[in-house]
Amino acid sequence: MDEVRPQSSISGSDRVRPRDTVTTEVLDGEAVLHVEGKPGLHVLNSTASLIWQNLDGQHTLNELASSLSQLAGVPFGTVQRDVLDAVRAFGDSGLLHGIAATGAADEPQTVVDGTAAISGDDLRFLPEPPHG
Amino acid sequence: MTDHLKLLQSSVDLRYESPTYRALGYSFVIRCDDAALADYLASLFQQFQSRGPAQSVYTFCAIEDAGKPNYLLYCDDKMVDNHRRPAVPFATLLWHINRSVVRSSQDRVLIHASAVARGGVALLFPAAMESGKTTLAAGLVREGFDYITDETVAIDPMTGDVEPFPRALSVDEGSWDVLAGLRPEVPPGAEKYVGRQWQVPPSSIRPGSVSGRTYPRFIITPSYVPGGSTELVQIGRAEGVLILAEHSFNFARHGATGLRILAQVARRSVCYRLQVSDLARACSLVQGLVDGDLMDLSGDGATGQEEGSRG
Repeated sequence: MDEVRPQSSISGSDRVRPRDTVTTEVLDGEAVLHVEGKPGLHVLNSTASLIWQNLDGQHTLNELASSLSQLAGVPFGTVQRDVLDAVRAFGDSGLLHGIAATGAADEPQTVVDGTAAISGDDLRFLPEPPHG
Repeated sequence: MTDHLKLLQSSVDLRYESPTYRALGYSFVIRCDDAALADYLASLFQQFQSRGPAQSVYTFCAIEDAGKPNYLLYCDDKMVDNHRRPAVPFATLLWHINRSVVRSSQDRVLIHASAVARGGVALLFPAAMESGKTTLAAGLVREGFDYITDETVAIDPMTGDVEPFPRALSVDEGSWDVLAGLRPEVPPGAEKYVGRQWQVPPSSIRPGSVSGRTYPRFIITPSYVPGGSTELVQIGRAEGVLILAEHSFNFARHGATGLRILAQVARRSVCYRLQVSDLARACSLVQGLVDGDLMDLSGDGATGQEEGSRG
């Protein structure tokens, strides 16, 4: 069984990747994520989405930060801090392989931009029965 | 069949039986003992007329009880409602059919939204209850748009197209003034079945107004703000997906596939928030969007996507 560790232990030398159960759809640079069996959706802004899409489990977070730093022309230290903050937030929300979520299991966690709780109740939008 | 229903059928003349109606994945027949009620039901459900066997048979009739009529509603052999006032089980009938349509159509991605169409493209209005979905759809159909639904948008998971569910529009009392011209005509003798909502058949707004299958092009989430401004603000497609999922009846059931379908819908759509205070102004804004988009599609150069400001 893979080791599961807290998001707070994530460092720049780690190689992390999304859980296999996460589905990602990218629209205009923003990502919408769904975790199989969970009721919520997560929306990532374009920066968080860029980080998310580059979590390949092959490169370290420092390597990713270095690439993004060169790409954006922003100091490495600044980008490294943003990458670690974002990746720890991903971990906090149960989106990363081998990283334990710290939030309640069935509640969507705030990631970077937005979340939505999706109820499993098929009929919740319908009005109450007139005489029920 | 329960003994009670058998007894009922032997004592009540259920001489009026509808054709089979099919709405999305649900088919049903309604039997009743009142010609006026049969006429009224036919006016509300004619757009669903179909053929073949029905999944459910509703029975609506009156029996004498202590010298007064009591109105009974059955679905198959199960009593669903009974009341001295016929409007109550009638409202329950509409509610039960609506609920059954949702329950029987789970292979589609179902969104709590109204929708209209124009020029072969659909406009979806996902929103919570009391947000003005029905009022907006009614206003737009009155202005020449085709009608898809006032409550449940069904998206075909294979194509991403919208399958119409053109039930009679349920107009709440709060919108009667702005939609005064749509007050429905009820067949003589059926007035007693009318409750607190108008049931407006789409054909009574405009004959031939029911849309066929279409693909979505606009996702517009309305909110009714009395006394506020009426404005349209463009939002991102990711937010559009979030709004569709939040208002889905069955997103959790479709899971990752549902996300892919909603993303597919959003990618070919433009997404907006619409704050509505004035219905005519709201309809005009929406009409302007669509006209611009259609001109754009036909190569006339207008850009419907730039009508609203980016939020």
